[in-house]
Amino acid sequence: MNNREKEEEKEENQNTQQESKVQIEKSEWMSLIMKKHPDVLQLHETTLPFSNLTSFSTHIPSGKTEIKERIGGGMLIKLIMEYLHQNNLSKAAENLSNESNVSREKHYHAIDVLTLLLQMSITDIDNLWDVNFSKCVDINLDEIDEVVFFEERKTSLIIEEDDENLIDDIPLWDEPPDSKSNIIYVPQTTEEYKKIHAATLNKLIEKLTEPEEMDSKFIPIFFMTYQSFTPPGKLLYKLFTRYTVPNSLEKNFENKEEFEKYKKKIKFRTLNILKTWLDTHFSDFNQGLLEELNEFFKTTKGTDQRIFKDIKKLIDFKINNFHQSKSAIEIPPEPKVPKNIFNKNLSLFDIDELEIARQITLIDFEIFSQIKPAELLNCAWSKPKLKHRAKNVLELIERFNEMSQWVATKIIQRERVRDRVKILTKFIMIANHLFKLNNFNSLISIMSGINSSAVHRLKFTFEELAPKNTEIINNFKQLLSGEGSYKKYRKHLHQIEPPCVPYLGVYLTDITFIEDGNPDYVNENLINFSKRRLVYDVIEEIQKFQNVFYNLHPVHQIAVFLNKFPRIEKKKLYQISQEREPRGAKKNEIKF
Amino acid sequence: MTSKFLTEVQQKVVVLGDFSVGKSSLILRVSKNEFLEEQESTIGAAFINFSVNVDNKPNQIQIWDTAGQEKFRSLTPIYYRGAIGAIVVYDVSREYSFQTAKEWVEELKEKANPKLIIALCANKIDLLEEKKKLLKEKEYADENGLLIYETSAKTGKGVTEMFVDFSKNLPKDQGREIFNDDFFEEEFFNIELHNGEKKTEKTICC
Repeated sequence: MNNREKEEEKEENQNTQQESKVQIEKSEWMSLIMKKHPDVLQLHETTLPFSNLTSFSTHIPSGKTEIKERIGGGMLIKLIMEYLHQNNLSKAAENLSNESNVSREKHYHAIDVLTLLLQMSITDIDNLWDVNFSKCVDINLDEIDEVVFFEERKTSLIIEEDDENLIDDIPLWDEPPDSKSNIIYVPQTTEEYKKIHAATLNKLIEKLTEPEEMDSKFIPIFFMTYQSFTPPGKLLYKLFTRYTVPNSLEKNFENKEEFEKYKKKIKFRTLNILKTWLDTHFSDFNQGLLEELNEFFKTTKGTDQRIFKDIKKLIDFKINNFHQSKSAIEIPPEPKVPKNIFNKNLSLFDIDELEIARQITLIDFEIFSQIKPAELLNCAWSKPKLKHRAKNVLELIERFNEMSQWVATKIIQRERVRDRVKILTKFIMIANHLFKLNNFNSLISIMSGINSSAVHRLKFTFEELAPKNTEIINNFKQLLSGEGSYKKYRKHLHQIEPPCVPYLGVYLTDITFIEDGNPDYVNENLINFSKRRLVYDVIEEIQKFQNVFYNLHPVHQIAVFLNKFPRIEKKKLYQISQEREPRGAKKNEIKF
Repeated sequence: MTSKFLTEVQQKVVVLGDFSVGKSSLILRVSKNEFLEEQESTIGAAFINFSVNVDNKPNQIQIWDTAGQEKFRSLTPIYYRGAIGAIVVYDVSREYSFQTAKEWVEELKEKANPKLIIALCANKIDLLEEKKKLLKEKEYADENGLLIYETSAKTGKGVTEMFVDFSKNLPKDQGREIFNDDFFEEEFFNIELHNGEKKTEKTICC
C-alpha cells in the first residue's frame, strides 16, 4: 500500500467518523442495522406482515368477490413487494422479484389501484390509532367516552391471546355481584382475612381494587401469576376500565355524594394497584404498554393528576435504573488471576479452581437472576407455543447441558489414565468450590459430566483417583441424589445462606406437578387461584435467591473461557470411551 | 443401619418419556386414587413409595419421576442408573412420542443395568379410537421383551394396576446390589406431598 492510498484511506475513515456523528434519520438507521445484521433483518421480515393486518383488511376486505377476482398470484407478489419496499426491505423485494419474474411497479401513474390502496394503507398504519384517538379528544371526553375509547383500543392492547383466554369475557362493570358462580373463598380457618379459592378475572380485579382487605399475599400472588390466565395488555385494559367508573352506577347509591365518595375510592385504589404493579413487575411493561399508559394519563382528566405524576416519576426511575441495582457494599475478594492471563493459549490448568468456580457462578447468576415469573408459568419452558416466554430458563438449561458435556469431553479426550485422573481431579476441585459458593446448578452439571455414561464406565480412571476425591464424589452423589424428590438437597438448600444459584430442575418438577395436578379453572370458568398460590410459593423461593447478588469480581479472560464449551457429541464420546478402556479389558491392556 | 433396613430393600423405579405424555399425571393419579380421600386442588410435587407383597414378602418400591426436567438431558443417565425397573411412557394420540419411547428403550438397553425390567406404558388411551388395538406397539414390546400396559391418567383406567403388576414383576432380592450406586434412606415414608400438607401411609396388598 503506497502513501497516497494510505492517505485516502485515512480520509475515508475520517469521513465515516464524521458521518456517524451526524444524526441519522430513523428509517436510515433501521436499514443500516438491517444491513449489518442479516438475522435481525430476517426476523423483521418474518414478523412484519403480521403486525399490521388490521389496517390492510380495513381497506381491502378479503371477502369481496371482486377483490378475490382481481388478486391473482402476481398481484399478491406485487403487494408483498410493495410492502417490503415501504419498510426498507428492498433487498428482500428484489429477491422476490427475481424468483417470481414479477417486476415491481415503479411509476405511480402506471400503478394498480390495489397497489395504490396498499400504499395508502401503509402510511395509515402508524396513524391508525392516532386517528381514533384524536376523534375522542375532539368530543371533549366525559367518562363514558373513555370507555368507548378503551373499547376501541382494546385490540391493540391485547397482544398475545392464548386459547385459555377465550373464556367468555364479560365487560368489567357488567360483572354480577359476588355469588358462587363468580367467586369462591377458601373455607374460613382462624385467619382474619378471606382467601380466594377461585374467581373470574373481573372478580379478581374487583377485589384487587376494592378497599375491602384481602389476605396480605393476594396482591403479590396475583401479580406474579396473572400471566398464566391473562396477558399484561388485557390486565392494563381492565384496570383502565375499572378506573373509569360509569355514571350509570349512581342509581345504586343513596345520593350523589355517596357515589362520588365511592368513585374516588375506587379510582384511588386502582391507581395504587397500578403503581404496585409497575413497582414490583416493571418488566411486564413493554414499549407498547408504556405508551398506552402515557396516553391514559394524557387523556384522563380529573383530580388524580398528582398520583399520575408520581406514577410517571416511578416509570422514569424504573427505566433509568433498570440495569443498575447491583452495587455491592463490600469490596469483593481479590480474584486469583494467573500470570499468563493474556496468553492466547491459556488453559484450564493455568487457572485456579476457586477462580474458575467464581467465574462460572457469576455467569450462571447473571442468567438465573434474569428469570421472570412468566417464564415459569404454564410450564412455558417445555411447550413449543410458549417457549418464547422462557428465554432465561432455557438458556440456563442449555448451559447446564453444554457444561456437563464439556466436562465429559475434557476427560475422555485424554488418552492416558493418569492424564484423565489429573483433569478429573481438577473438575472435582472446581465442583467442591461450586458447592462452597452455593452454586448447585453448575455443581450438578459438573457432577453429571463426571457421572455421564461415557465417563462413569472408566473403571481404571476412578480406581486411580485419590481416596479423598472419591469421597467428595460420593458425598455429592448422596446430597444431590434425586431420591425422594431431591429430599437431601432440598434440606441442604434451606439451611444455606444466600447468595446461591439453586438447581433449577427441582423447581421445574415442582411446578410441573402443580400444573398437572390442579386444573387451571374451577367450575369451568373460575380462575383457580389456589393453584396460583402454590405456584407462587415456588417462584417466591426462586426470587428470594435472585435478590442476593454475589460479591465477586468478573475476570473477562476467564469468563470467555467458561462461556462456550467445546465438546464432542454424546454417541461419539461413548465410542471413544470404549476405546480408552475397552469393556472387560485387563489392567495391563490400558494406557496409564 | 437399622434392622428394618436389612429386611426391607427399597427398589428404584424410574418413569421416563417425552414431555406432556402424562408422566406426572400417572403419579398424581395413583396418589389421588389410592392415598388421598378428597381431591382438593392443592397437590404439590409428589413422589410415591409403596410396598407390594410378593410371596408374603414386602417389596419396597420408590417411583422416581422427574417430570419437568426433560430438558436437562445430561442428567438422564444418572437418573436411571441404579434403577431396577423403568416405565417408559408415551402418548397414544401422538405418534412422535412412541418414536421417542423407542429411543428411550434403546438407550436403556445399551447403557442401563442389563437386568433392568422395562415396561412400555401406552398412556391416554381415553383418546384412542376403540378399534385401534396398539398392534404395532405390542409387537415391538414382544420383540424387545418389554411389559406393556395401557393406561389413562385422566380416567384412572389401568394406572394403579400397572404400578402393582409392574412391581410384582421386579426381582425381589436385587434391589440392594443394584442400588449400591446410590444412597439409602434409613427411614421410609410412603407418600409425601411436597408442600407437607398431608402425609398418609398405605400399602397396596396383592
